[in-house]
Amino acid sequence: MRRLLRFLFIPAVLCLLVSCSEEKEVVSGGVVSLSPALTELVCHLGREDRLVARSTACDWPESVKKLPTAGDFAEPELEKILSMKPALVVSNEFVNPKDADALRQAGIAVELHPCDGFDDYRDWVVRMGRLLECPDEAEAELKRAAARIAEFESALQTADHKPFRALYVIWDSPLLTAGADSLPDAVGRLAGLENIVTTEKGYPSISLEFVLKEDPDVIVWFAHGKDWKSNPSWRGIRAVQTDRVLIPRDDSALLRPGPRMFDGIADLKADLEKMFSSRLNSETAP
Amino acid sequence: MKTARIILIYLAAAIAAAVCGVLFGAARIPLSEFVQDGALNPIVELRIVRTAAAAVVGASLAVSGLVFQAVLRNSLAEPYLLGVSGGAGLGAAGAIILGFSAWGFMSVPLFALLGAVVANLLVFAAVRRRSAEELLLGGVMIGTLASSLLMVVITFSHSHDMAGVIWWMLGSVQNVDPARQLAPASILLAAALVFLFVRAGDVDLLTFGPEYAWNHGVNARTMTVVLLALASLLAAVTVSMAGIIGFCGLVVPHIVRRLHGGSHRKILIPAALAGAAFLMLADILGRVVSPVRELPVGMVTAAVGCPVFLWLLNRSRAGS
Repeated sequence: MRRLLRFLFIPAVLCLLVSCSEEKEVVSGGVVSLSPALTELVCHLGREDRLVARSTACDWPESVKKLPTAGDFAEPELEKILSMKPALVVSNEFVNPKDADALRQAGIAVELHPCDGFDDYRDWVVRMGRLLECPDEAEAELKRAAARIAEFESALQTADHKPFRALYVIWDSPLLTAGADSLPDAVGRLAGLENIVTTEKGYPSISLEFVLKEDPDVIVWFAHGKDWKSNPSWRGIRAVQTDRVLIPRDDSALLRPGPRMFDGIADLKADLEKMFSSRLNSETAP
Repeated sequence: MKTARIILIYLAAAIAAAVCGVLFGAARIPLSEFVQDGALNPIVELRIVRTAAAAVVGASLAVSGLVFQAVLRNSLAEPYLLGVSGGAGLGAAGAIILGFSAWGFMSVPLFALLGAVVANLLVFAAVRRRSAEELLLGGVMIGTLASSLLMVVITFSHSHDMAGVIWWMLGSVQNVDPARQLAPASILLAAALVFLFVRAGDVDLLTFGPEYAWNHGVNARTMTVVLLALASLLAAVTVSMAGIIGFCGLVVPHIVRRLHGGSHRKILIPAALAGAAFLMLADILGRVVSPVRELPVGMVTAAVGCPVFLWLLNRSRAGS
């Protein structure tokens, strides 16, 4: 009996502690978002009215552009934020710890966590639902995300071809690419791509010779405003020679772990199918 | 040792390094696959271009360093002394961060060259007497100013731009355009070698000081300006091609001079060939040690050049 009581009592106390801490986590007041993905998430959860400032990179939805800027994700403008007296500042882990401490000392709640993949996105949805008192909206978003991922995974299982081997170009000179555990790697996999960079994580700078050796089927070009055609070093790559360089319709939807990334994956998938089906047709035409 | 024999030894070393540069890299390619369907394997083509670029950049830096060390009579002198690295860095960073890099592949190298030349011209314009020492001090000042401005520009840049600037400053021969960069740089190097070979006697006399050179019929001030301008131009062109590559221009001429004496007619070609071989080997090392990521060649030259230089220094001291 004593054992049974202990078995029931300990989880009960833990639940109480968790619920108390959850209650404490709720913030009422303005929110400063220094991450474009989190700004999109706040708006998606129906809490745009809580935003009082954004980062210089936050540009979606269009309406957030009216908000004042307060620095970027790595370098918040402390004086500006302090003068706004927000209740909460959210960003990823790149914020200078000293800046975060300064904000906390001023009584502002600061939430800094990685924001790199699907797992991080789920964590942020739960966290935001709790902080901004919108658990139902967060729950709905979690379900939507799970359903979209399941939909992409099921399409992959029934696909009649192997994933296309891809190089994700984040920057052309130096050649910065998306490595094994990056967001482009994760979203690309759901769109039917297989990253040629498997041994390096994050966003490494890789050699052109490695690219030539790996000979990707397609290059996904995120280097906005850059042109691979003027660089002679790119001409030897078969994907360039065969015009298999894909510029995503909206690269921000694929590079930001926000609510739009599932639409970005669907667009990427459709563009890939179009690129490879037309190629296939032209190759099989008499 | 006779000059011809010395040159042959260095030539053999440079050829060996060039062959290794084409044979080794991130991918293992059997000799039978060097030519595919009548065309050169693209990987081999890439290696040939970058090996040739490493050779030209290495030779130019070594020759530039040789001239600087002779004219300034300072064994610590190096090709970037007259503000070349700061000016080129500022030019390249400006091009990347202000978005001019979107104009095309050549925009960053051209802005780097412009920055280096402007910094050089500022040094020559600011220093009225144009003695070697004053040009050196003027170069340090303009270089420091350019480097400070570069830091300001970097501070205001986005992360990708910053990565671009930093990687460019670390140096790489991966992205060299054979027609628009390598060919003009090769012509400039050849012209500089011919000029310096012809005027090697004047360079020798300048190493004893401007008065000594003047007493032996050399217009020391004009010759100093011409030689420093030529050496800086060589450095500026290499910086625009491959970024800032340290140590090559400092260590290679120093070692060659220690091994073969101070006659510039004797050591000019060996220094150029040694510079070429050194940078080709550094590039191979960067490719082979880390095949996927590839180490920037500037990092390898510093990592290899520093201990080799210190070892030679101690060895020669022990010998004496």
